[in-house]
Amino acid sequence: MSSSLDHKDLFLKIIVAVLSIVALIPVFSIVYELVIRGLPVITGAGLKFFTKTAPAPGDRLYGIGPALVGTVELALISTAIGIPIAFFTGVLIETFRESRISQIVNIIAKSLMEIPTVLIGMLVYILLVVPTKTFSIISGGIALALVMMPYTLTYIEESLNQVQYKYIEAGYGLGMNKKQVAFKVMVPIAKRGVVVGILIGITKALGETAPLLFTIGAARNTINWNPLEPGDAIPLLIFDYIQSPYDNMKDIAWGSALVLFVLFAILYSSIRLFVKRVRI
Amino acid sequence: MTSTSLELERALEVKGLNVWLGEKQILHNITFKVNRGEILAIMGPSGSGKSTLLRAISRLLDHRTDARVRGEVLINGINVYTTNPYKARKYIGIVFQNPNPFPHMTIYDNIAVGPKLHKLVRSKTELDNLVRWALKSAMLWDDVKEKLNSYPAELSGGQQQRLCLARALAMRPKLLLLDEPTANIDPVNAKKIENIVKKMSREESVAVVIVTHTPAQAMRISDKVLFLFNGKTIEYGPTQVVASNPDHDLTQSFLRGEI
Ligand SMILES: Nc1ncnc2c1ncn2[C@@H]1O[C@H](COP(=O)(O)OP(=O)(O)OP(=O)(O)O)[C@@H](O)[C@H]1O
Ligand SMILES: [Mg+2]
Repeated sequence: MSSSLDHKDLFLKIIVAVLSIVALIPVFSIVYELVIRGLPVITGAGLKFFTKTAPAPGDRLYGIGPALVGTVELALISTAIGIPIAFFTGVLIETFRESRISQIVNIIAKSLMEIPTVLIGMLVYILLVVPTKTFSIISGGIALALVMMPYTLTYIEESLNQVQYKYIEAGYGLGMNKKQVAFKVMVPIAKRGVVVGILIGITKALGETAPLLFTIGAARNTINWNPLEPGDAIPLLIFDYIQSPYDNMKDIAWGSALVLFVLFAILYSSIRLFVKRVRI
Repeated sequence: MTSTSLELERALEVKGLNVWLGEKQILHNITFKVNRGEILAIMGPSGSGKSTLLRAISRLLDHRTDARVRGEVLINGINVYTTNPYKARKYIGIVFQNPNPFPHMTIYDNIAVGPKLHKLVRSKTELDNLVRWALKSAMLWDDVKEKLNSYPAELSGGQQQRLCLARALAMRPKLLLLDEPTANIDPVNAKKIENIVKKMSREESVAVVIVTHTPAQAMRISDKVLFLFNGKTIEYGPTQVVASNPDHDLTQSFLRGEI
C-alpha cells in the first residue's frame, strides 16, 4: 500500500520536474536572445543609446532617447489618471458592495479588461486625436490609463475584499462611518494589495503597443518633453524597428527590448518585494 | 431630543427585539432594561444568540445584507433604530468575542483612534493620559507600557482581548457591551477586569451588558441576569433571585454546569 503510494509520488515528481523544465525553456530562451542580441548594441553605443535620437536607416548612430522619454511620460500620465480612478472605484465598490450600482460599475469596469487594447487605442483616436488634430503623448497616456484601470481596480478590490470582517466591524463599533472604515481600516490593512495592484497596472500599461499605434504618433526625431505633442514609446519603437530592413534599426529594436525587459524585471521584483516585505 | 430623568435612568431598554439572519430567526421577542450603573449578565448555551443580541443593540447587523431586525432598542431613551447609528455608537463601547485589534495600528493608536474620531481630547497630553488610563483599566498597562509603538500582532490572545477592552473604555462610553471579555484571560487578571467593570458601573454610572459563560462570574458582578436559550428569554431577573430560585430547569442545569 505505502510502496505503491511512493511510486505514485515519484511519478508525479518526475512529471512536475519535466513540465517545469518545458515551461522554463521559453523564458530562458527569451532572456538569452535578449542579452546576446541586445547587450552588444547597448554597450557599443554607450550612454548615447539612451540620450540620442534615432539614426537614419543604415547609419550607425544609435539612440532611443525619444522613446525612453515618451515611455516615462506615458507612465506618469497613465498612472496619474488611471490609478486614482481605479483606487477610488475599488474602494467605492467594496464599501457599497450590496448596492446594485456598485455591482454594475464593477462589471463594466472589469469588462474593460476583455476589450482588445487596439480598440481602446481606436476609441481614444476618435475621441481625442481626431478632434485635436494631433497625435500626442497625453492621448497615449489616456489610452494606457484605460488599459491599466481594470487590472489595478480588480487587484485593489480583491485585496479590500480580503480584509477580515472582524476589523471592519471593529471600525463600525467605534462609531466610524463608511468612509472612515474604508480609509482608516480597509485600505491600510490591504495596503500591500493596493500597492501591488498599482505596480501591476503600470507594468501592464508599459508593455502595451496597440493603444499607442494611433495615439502618440511615433515621433522619434526629437526628444519631446511636452505631453501635448507627438512622441514615441519603447514598445512602439521595437514594433516598428524590428520589421525594418536595415540592420542598425533591428539592432536598436533588440537593445530597446533589453531595456524594456530590465524595466519589467525591476517592476516585477518590486512587486515581489512588496508581497514579501509588508506583513498583515 | 427631550429626555426625562426617568428615561435617562434607563440607559438601555430593549423592547420586543426579533432578529433574523437569512431565513432563520435568531432572537425572539427579547425585552429587558439596564439602568445606569447596572450590570446585566447574559448567559446561555453556545448558539443561543448572545453575540447577535449585542450586535443588534449597536445596530451592527445593519452592515450585513442578510440580517433583519424588528423591535426597539432605546439608548438613553432614544431609539437607535430611528436615529443615526454612527452617532449612537459614540456612546457605546463594544468588545467582541474574538479579539480584533486593528493589525495596522500600533498599540497606542488602537486606543487613540476612538477618542480622536469623536474629539474627546484637546491635546496630546490629554490623549496620552486617556490611553494610559484605558490600558491600566484593562489590566494591560504593565504588559505594554514599554512597547506602545509595537503592533498588536506581538501580543497574546488574552492581551489582545484586553487591548480591545481598553479601546472600548477609551471612548468613555455610557453603555458597555462585553462579549465574553475574560474568556482568554487568566483568572487573576479576569478578576481584576471584573472589578474594573464594576467600578465603571458604580463610579461612572456606565450601564454594562456582559456575556459570560461562567455562572460564577455572573454571580460576582451582575445585578441582573438574562438567560437565553435558542434565541428566547427563559429567565430574566435580579441575579440573586435567579441564582437561588431559577424558574426554569434549563437555568438550573446551566448554573450547575451541565450545559
Ligand atoms: N451568518 C449567519 N447566518 C445564519 N445564521 C447565523 C449566522 N451567524 C450566526 N448564525 C446563527 O445565529 C445563532 C446565534 O449565534 P451567536 O453567535 O449569536 O450565538 P452565541 O450565543 O454568541 O454563541 P457562543 O456562545 O458560541 O458565542 C447561531 O445559531 C448561529 O448558528
Ligand atoms: Mg457569541
